[in-house]
Amino acid sequence: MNDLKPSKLKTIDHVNTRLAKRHASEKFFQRMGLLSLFIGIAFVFTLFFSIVSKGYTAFQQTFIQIEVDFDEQFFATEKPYENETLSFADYGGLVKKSLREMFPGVESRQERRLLYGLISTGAAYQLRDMVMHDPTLVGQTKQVWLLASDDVDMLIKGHMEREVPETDRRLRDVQIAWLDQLIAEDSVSLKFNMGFFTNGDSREPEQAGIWGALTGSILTLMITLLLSFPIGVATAVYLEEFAPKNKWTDLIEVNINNLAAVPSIVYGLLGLAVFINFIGFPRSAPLVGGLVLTLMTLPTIIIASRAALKSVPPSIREAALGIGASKMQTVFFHVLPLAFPGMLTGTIIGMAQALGETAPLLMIGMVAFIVDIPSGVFDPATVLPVQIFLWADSPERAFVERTSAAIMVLLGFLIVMNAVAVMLRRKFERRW
Amino acid sequence: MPDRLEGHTFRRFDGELDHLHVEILEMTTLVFEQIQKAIESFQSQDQKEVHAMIEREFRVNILEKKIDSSIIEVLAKRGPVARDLRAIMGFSKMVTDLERMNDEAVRIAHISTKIYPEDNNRDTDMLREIDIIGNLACTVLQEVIEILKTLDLKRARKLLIHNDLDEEFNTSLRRLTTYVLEDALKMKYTINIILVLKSLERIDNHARNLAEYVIYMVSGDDIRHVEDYR
Amino acid sequence: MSLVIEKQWNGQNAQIGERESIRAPEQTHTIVSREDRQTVGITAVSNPRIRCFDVNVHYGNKHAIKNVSLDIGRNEIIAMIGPSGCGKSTFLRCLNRMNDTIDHCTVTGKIELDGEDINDKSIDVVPLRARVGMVFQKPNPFPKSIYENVAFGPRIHGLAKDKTELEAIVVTSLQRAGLWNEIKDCLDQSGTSLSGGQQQRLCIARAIAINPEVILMDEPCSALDPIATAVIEDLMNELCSDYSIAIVTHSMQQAARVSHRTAYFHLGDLIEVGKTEQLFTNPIHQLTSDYITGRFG
Repeated sequence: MNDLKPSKLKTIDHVNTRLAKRHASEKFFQRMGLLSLFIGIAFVFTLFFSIVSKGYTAFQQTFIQIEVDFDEQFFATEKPYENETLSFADYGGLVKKSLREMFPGVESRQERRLLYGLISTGAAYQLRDMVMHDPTLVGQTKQVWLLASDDVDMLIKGHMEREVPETDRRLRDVQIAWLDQLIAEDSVSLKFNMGFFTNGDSREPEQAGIWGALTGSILTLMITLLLSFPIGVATAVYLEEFAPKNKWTDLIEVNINNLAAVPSIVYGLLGLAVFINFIGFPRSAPLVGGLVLTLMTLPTIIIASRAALKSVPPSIREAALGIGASKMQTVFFHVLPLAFPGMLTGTIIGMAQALGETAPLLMIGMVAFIVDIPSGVFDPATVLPVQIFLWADSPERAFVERTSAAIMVLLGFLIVMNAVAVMLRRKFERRW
Repeated sequence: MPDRLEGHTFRRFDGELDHLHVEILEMTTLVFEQIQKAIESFQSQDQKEVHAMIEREFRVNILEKKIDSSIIEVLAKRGPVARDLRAIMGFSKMVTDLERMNDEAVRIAHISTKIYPEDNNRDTDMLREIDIIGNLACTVLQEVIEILKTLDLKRARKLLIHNDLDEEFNTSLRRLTTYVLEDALKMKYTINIILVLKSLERIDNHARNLAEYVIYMVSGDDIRHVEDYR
Repeated sequence: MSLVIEKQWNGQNAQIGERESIRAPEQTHTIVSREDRQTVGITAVSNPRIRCFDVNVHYGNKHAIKNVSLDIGRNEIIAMIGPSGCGKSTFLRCLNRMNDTIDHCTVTGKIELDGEDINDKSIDVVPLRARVGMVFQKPNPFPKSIYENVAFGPRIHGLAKDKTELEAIVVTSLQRAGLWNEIKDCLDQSGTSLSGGQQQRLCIARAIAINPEVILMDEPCSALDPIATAVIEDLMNELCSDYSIAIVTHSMQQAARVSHRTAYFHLGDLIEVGKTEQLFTNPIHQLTSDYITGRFG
């Protein structure tokens, strides 16, 4: 009978002896979680800081003010000026002449070349655009802000050290002297870099812009969205709502899950083989890029959409079926609207993945150096991540800041996409 | 056995029904003793004992009230159905019948004290009638107690089929008539005896009712007022 | 409303009318033992809406319903009771072929709705479900407005010619479901914002909006408080003048309160069918008796 007697210690005593330990372990766990959160945030901030600190200067560009005499003799034609003849005038010579006039002391060929090197080769196009826009300029003399070369830009932004020996830097002493003279005349200034957002790619960093890549990205993503969203949702709806559950659908499900894990370069190879070699679509075209990215994002969208459909309570389906709605009425009137926010999230995730994808696009030629802005889905184009990859690979110092700036644009694009997704979710989301 | 009252998922319900059953048995036994005492009072010399028996009526009444409140409680708390509902209803009706039986027993005792204020002029011939009918009633009651204990359907049916007391009652009446014809002065005495016999007949009827309730409780058959049953 | 029911019992025919003379009952006390799985009681009614013959349901290898034959009469409320997993809900879902939506579920046997075999290949399930409506255990209004909830059924079946007609259907349905007075000012409100009892009445309104012949209710009050339950039970009592109602319930008191007949299921077998009064006072089968008196578990 003795051992049946309740021990002196009550349950609460046992609990109390262990309580401190339990609380300690709980606190430890919480702190570990907090710590990992901080580490994560720290990494993100480091990344952002490094990108922004390197890239923000790319949004400004150095311009040099030069007095240009639009001498009629350059424009080989009489008034009224024809656009065609105007556009063929020797604007490069005009820039050079203006420079020579600004620095009359420069005589030797070598020095002259150095002098011309201060101004970007793009300055000629700048002048041409001015004249084309306003032909009355011919014969006048005007102060014009012309794009400086990338080396000048680097010096002004402080990325090039004056102290290093002359042989170790890209600007000669004489060029720096001229620049100093120009600075003293208040003829050198940093202006907002409009060209970065409106130009296509270029070998010259000061002329390179992301508009071409951005257009390429938008076109590619549009193709991807237009194809992958309907196909993905339709697949998910069929598999989830209509298909019988048997070993075939199981097999399909397993394969879809596997496809989501296939390395993206494989899709690139597939696209190369099927869309370019077999069907004969043009290389580097956003159409092919979109098709390849569609293949890549489909599994993601299907899986997310199926999860969204699964999360719609079966009671809603039963309710609709119970009052005699057909399967399709049930799905389209009741299930899809409820699953839509989830599907949208999946699609946006897929799109974000597609936006940042490089490898498969390399395979289908979107890595080519393309200066023109694509105007359609069949034009050669490149996309933002590939552009970043190309610039990161370029030797010029000035491309470093552009790479970072392009990354910032890409991130901004992503944030906009996510914001749109959140807004759409808010709009469509319903409680049940 | 299908006839058991226990086996509920709520075990306290078992206990409550059991408790009611025991209380009913207790009440029946008590009433049985009262009736026995009442019949014996005609033989016994001891008026004290008769008065004590009459006093004991209150015990039966208290038990009646107690059982009634238990029944109300079970009805309110458990919402019994089927067999349990029938058991509760059966118990409830039994209580009423038992109380009536007790009243009859007390009436008999009162008559006994009235016609035998002192120990004199006993008419043994007439008392024999009480003895015969009383014995019959007691046998029935004893059987009913057994039936109540075991809730035995067969015994209950058997009991209801035979009714010896009715015939015996009529024979007794005839015999008593002859006594009156012999001696008209015995009229008052005879009427009292007849009243006792009538009470005993009623007790028998109530006892049979108990058996009917047992049948209803166990099988759900309501055989009251059924002519072709016997 | 006196239903003269043809009584077939142990092969004997007996007429039970209003003028029931006092006579010796049959040997009802011979309780059917636990092991016997034959249905006892009268499964047939004189004016059936739905007749089921030897219905069997298999979920894969599981035999969920075994040889169930049961009639559901016109203007009758029939309650189906039984322990969890006894197949009562499955049986209910056979009646409007809701089991079609479950994979690996096969239904055999004959179920007739007004003499038509509903499992026949020529029968389309959509009109069938329009004739046999269903209310579910959990109130499941669509996450749309109250009006849309009720209007959905008539709209997809094309019951209203124009907007005013549709509105009239919605209003009468809500009135019949006893919900109109509470929500007439907020028809645009979401159906999910109502209280549990109101939601369930909304579901009933949705079911009667398509004017079915039979309403199946699968534990309609299991998520509701006693007051809401009472309101719905009262509603059922009113509705049964127009519809046949089959209700599955876990609450024996509810079955006893609302139904005219009660069917007891046990592990896929239909054990006993009888008038509710009879079943709850004097069940014939031992299993029924054990279940309704709370002697399981």
